[in-house]
Amino acid sequence: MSGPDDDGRDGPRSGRDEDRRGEARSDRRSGVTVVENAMMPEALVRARAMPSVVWLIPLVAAFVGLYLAYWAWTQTGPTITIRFESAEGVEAGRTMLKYKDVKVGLVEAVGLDEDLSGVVVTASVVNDLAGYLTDQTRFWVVRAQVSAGGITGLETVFSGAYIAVDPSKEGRSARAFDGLEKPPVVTSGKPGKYFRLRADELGSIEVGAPVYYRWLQVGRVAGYELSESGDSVEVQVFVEAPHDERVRSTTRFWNASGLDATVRADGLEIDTPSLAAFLLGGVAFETPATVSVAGEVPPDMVFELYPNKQATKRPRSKGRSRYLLYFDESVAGLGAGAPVEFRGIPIGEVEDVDLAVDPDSGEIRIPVVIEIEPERLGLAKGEDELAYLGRQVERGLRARIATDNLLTGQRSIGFDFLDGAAKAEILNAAPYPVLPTASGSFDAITERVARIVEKVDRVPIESIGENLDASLARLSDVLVEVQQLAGTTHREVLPGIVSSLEKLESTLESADGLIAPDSALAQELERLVSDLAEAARSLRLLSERLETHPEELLRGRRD
Amino acid sequence: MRYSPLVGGPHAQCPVCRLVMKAPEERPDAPLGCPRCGASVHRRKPESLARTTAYLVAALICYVPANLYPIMRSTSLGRAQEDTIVSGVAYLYHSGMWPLGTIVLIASVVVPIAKIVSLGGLVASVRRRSRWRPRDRAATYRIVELVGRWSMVDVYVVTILVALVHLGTLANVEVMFGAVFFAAVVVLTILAAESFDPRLIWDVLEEEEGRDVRT
Repeated sequence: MSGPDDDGRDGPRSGRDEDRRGEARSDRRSGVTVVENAMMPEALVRARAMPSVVWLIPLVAAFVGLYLAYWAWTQTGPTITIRFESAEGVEAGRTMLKYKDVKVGLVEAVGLDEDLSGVVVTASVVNDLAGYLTDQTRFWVVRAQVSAGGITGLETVFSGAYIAVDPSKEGRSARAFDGLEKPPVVTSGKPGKYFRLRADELGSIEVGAPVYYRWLQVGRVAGYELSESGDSVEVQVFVEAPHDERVRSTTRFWNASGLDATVRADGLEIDTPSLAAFLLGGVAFETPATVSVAGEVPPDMVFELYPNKQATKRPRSKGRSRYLLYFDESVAGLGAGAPVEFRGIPIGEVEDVDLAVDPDSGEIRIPVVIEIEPERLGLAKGEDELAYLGRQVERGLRARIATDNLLTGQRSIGFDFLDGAAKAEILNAAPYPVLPTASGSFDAITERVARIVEKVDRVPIESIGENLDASLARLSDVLVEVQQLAGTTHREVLPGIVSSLEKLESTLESADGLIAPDSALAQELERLVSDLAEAARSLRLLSERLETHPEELLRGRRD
Repeated sequence: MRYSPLVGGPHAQCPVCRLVMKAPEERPDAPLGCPRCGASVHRRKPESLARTTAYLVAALICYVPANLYPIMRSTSLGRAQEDTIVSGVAYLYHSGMWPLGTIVLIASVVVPIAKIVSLGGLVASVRRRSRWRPRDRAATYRIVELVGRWSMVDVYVVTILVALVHLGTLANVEVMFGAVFFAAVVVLTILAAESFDPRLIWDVLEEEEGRDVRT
């Protein structure tokens, strides 16, 4: 027998009970009761105790039950649906939803999409999360993953996959979601900043690739997309706090992927940030010491992503505009990508070199398309570019072909202010405005050689020969006249001198023969003169050859 | 068929010293004491119907969370699995262990609810002073009383597992909330069965027989 049953347990000790016992005994003594009664004692009647406490038990049970129901009701959050490509590893009733490794929900059902294009996972989430379920909230399945960047989700090998949640308070409240196929690189809880980079080519950059600052990983590549026009790629990088403060308005980003090999005098130098970056690709940034003041990054700033660290030394792309240059001289060594410089400072590059015939004059010219950054030429923001450049052209700004490297024959376009340049102006033509050019300035040696050749060229060797010829002829005439004079005076003046004069004549005749056009001396002289002319010609040829193939100075003629 | 031709008088027996005594008929509900040893004496189990009803209600309330909440969580190689009674049975059936599943189903699901229902029926029949098949009802009560403790099998299984399977991350079994409620259901139904007095089944008949005898 159990249960609270102690009503009147203290009975035997109470005086009243003693009285009753006495009563019973007196009953027995009196003997008036029937036999049955005399043999059998009568039970003692006690006072009724408190109402039964047994009802407390269902009350407690009900209280606990109600409390549990209330607790469950407050804990049960909304039911959500998440779409995934596949339900690999997701099991109804097993797979949990986790945030920061805390269980925040449970998958209740896994079903197929209406058009069988994916799976729909129905899950219940805890109430705490209800306020964080917006269209910005992201879900993805965490499975064990081995990639170049590392091994992640190893714990799921044993525990099974789970759905990770990246809650967000921003955006509209939502109950249906599209799950991510790949874990997001940056979860919303991480402090840091996103930056936008513009690149011509994506290169080997992957989502999740590291972002380095002095080869220290400070962030990750969050994503990339083709720009609307399709002519560049926009890369989003996330830089974790506090390193995001290192990114300033003058910071330069470059693609740090792969190997950067340089051959130097002291051997081969290979520069790569890490094996992960080598395989995954990566982005590095640095804030160089520049003349311009490094300020805060404006919110809509797009950084240029340079293809390599070297390229960051080149001009930064801000506003770029294209111009056309016409050259009459040889552009050998000038190709697309050749630098455009102003007194040695790069301001742009050559986009295209072509050959064009002027339909009006039939003249063949060489148009060169260049892309320059007028801001580097001092153009103020908001100022009219053509008007500004027009003023500079008036002051003598001209484009010339310059030889960068005498050995490799690389040439560039150089801008400079030329004193005494012929008046010119910008021709605003289609497709690009035409900037005036000046004839090429030769590099020191080329120029000097050319000057020597020019000087040698200027020596009038032929006329010297002709003059000599004429002088000799005149001498011969004089001698004839002298002879005639002598002839007339022969008989009259000095017959005795005749013989000597005859002798002189014969001498002169022999001298005449000596200097006659068909004489050996004259022929030799002529040969000398022509040799000299020949030498001058080959010197000119050499200089021309050197002009086009300066490398032959070192390597010798190849053909 | 006639039941209980003998009319029991207004007597009571001391549960401690087994002294049979006369109980005063004028106040049938009054608490009595044994004139020999002083223990509490009752003609019938005190407040039998009320207590049984209270225990049954409590058991019924506990039955809900006992089935909704998992009774144990088994962790095997990091894969945690929470099982309620029903999901455990379903798991046993799915893995082909249907005899074992049946045993668990009967012991853990059918028996508690059958006990609650049959005891509830007994209480109701006594309240309604029913004269319907008293012998079968008494037999039902005996079965309920006999079978009651076997419902604890589930609780024992869980306790043994918890004690035995303690291999850290490799395998681990933890008791969950549901097991507490399940144990409460079993204990409460046992209490309910204990507090029910089967003599009440016959009281109605006795009264009428007695009336017949007196008249």
